[in-house]
Amino acid sequence: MSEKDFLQKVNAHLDEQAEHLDAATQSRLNQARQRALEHVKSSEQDHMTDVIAGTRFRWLPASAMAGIAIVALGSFLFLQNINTVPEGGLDDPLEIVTSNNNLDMYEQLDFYMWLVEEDNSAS
Amino acid sequence: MQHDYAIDISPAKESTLDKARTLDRFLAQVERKAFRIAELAVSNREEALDIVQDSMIGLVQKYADRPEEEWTPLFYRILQSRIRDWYRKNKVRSKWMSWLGFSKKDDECECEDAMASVPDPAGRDPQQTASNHESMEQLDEAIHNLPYRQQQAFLLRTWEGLSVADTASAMKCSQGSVKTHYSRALHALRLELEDYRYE
Repeated sequence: MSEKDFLQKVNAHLDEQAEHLDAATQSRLNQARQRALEHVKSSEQDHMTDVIAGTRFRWLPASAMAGIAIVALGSFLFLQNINTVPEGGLDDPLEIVTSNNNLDMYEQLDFYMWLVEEDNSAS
Repeated sequence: MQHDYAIDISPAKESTLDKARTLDRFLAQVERKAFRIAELAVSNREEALDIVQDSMIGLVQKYADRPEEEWTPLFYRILQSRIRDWYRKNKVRSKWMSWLGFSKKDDECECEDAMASVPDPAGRDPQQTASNHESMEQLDEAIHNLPYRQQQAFLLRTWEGLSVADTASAMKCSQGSVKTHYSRALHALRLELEDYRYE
């Protein structure tokens, strides 16, 4: 018998043995396979959980950005109110220049001061 | 928004189910051979079943995402690893038994490869089976009685059809060692099965 024939006979014998396992062993192998496949299902469930979590929190970044925008707008408006020049208190030359009041009065200040002096001298 | 949700889930779920089906088919295809290979190695049905189950779980957990054509060598690598673990545990156990006086002596020889000379766990001597001339049973006995590494190299190469490289990877040894183990196994079997050869 050649080596090839010998090996074929050995393989045939081993195949036959594997094909004719007793029912209890076949059942145990089936159970083992099902247990192993449960690990695929559990990894699928993990994936599903990730997907659901991803869907649930999908709008989280947009919500956060909207919140930040609201806070920034509120802060801006608040600070704008603080920077508003109080009425009647324009002692600082810079405040005078930066305020929105009409500057014509300041341009004719000498005239108004002269009027005041004239009134005083008349009285 | 619900449409997006459905689009996200379905392909993933479908691919997981496909993967599960493919793995089921693969494991069903290799489980019997794997069981016989483990049983021949450890000579214990229950231990062999546990080893096969651990190997299946190991493949699913670690290598399910790898291409299908890689599963066979990977599965047998895990199986061989589990069998080696079993031998290690048994060795420790037998050392303790020896130390406690429950065994005669630890008769490990100082060979270059200790695993190559691991005797049959059932304690049968290859010479004892020489007189057994029932061809099929004799062949089974002869394979059973081969030293562990010779037996596994022979089964993986001849029966499972793994390449020398894949067998070496599974057995964690060099390709040269696989060739040596295989050649010795073949020689021993042909010598022992003289009668079987000419039937």
